[in-house]
Amino acid sequence: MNGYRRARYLIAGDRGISVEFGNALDEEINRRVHKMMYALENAKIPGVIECNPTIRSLFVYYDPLKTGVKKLIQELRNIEGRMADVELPQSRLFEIPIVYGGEYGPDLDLVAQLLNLTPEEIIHIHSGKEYFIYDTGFIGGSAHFKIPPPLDSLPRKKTPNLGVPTGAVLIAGGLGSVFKPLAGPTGWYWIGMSPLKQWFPEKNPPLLILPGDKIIYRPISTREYEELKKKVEEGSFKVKILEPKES
Amino acid sequence: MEALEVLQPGAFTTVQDLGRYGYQKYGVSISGAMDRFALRVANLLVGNREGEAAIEATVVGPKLKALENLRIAFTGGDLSPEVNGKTVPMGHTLDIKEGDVISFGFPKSGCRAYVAVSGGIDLPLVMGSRSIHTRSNLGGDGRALIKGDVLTIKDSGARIQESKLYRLPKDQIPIYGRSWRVRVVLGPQNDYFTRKGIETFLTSEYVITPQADRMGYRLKGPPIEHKAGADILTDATPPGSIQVPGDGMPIILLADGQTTGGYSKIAVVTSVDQDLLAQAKPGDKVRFQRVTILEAHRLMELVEKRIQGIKKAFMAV
Repeated sequence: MNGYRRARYLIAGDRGISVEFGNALDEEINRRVHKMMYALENAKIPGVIECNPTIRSLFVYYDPLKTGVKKLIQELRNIEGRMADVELPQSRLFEIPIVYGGEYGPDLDLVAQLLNLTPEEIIHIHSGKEYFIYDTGFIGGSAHFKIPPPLDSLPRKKTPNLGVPTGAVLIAGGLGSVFKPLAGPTGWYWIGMSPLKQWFPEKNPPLLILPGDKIIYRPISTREYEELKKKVEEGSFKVKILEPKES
Repeated sequence: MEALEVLQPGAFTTVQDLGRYGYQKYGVSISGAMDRFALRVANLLVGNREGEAAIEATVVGPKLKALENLRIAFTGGDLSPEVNGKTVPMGHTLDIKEGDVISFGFPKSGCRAYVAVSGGIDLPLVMGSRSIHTRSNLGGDGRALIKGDVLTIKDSGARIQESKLYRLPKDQIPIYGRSWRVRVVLGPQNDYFTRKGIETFLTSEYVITPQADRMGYRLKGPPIEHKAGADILTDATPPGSIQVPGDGMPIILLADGQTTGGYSKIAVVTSVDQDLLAQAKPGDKVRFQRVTILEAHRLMELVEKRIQGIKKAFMAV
């Protein structure tokens, strides 16, 4: 196992504790994060406001006027000790249509150049594989997965400043972002576009893809993209949920 | 009840309460008032509960027409509030009449002003909050106010006559300078920085760049040195997080900041000083001072005491 034997409890400001289970993109570590989240939500500890599960840590947001930090860490350790039996929800596999390159993925050529590969090779590596979703974060619930080598060697850009549209498929820092739920700045490389939507603020949960789910990219033509996009906007497109190959 | 019509929107005017909790796991930012303290005091002045939604104006305030007799109060940054072109004081309960026009003049001190209205601004509750978060299009119409918008309030003005008019004691009305001491708790990734990097961070002066908004402030100054890389495996970015990307320039995330990020966080700004930073503007100077987690909690308790004290110290106008 890549995780720590016991979680690290990191002070993250005066209202947060980051419970870190490891420092690797590892499904087992990520499952511990989510087990801890469910166990903590059930425990209903006074002073705990909410928690935010990420790739390898659970961020616990608390009200220091209602609980002390030492006491809270002790309670969290107790929960950590008895979370093994928590059952996680069933994983779903989503098919994600994607157009690569050109105006749909302006950084594809740059990525190919940086890695000494052709754009076609990048597409071949990136698509057709099942990816496990580790977290839904940033703004609007960007879903992230572990990107296969050699794409995982791309760092994030040094200064984040690029604005990308909703649907932009991004990679950087060992991770893939399935597609951007909302337009905004990013420090990642933009290699493609998906016509799907991730962000549904009127629903609960407000996201299509959740941590623990899986996704697989299916390359499509720009024509199919425009057709699907129209359907998605009309609300007449049904996202394909496949049977996962491996559990 | 229709209460205010936007005649001019100002630079960036939104409606904010104390924020949206419980949805960070879905990538929903907390948002809420940048200066929570000022919002709470504004609400108290007009007889509201502390967390009601109010108007947040930024540097250049809006022009608003009262569509009803209203009880209002201005707090936070002094953006020279006026009613019908006449200067009105900050930190006072004011009764205005249907047809009166609220406007702002020169930004004298601070960056963000709050206008609370008795009854509280009524936008539909979205995920438990009325706060507008423009980056995810949540709250209201999902955007800053524009000309022609009409804001409603929850209660009618009927009970206005019953409650008293108040003003804040003069020493409770802040005057903001252009240089700021910002107290921080180190971590969660201070171990990603060299000793020299941390020393640079704690002893240097940084300037707030024009890239400063509700999401966060980018600062410029001596670069902060990492041990190796600047990137971490993405984790949570609570408000106040000070991220340091590879260029060594700190970015402070604030109310509208994203829920996760992949740059190492050298420290997190204390909750009380996040409110202060809401009043800082591009060009202002910032110095960071380290406090312990227990000191930070003590500062929060003092703010709560101050709020209690303000309630007691309200003086009849």
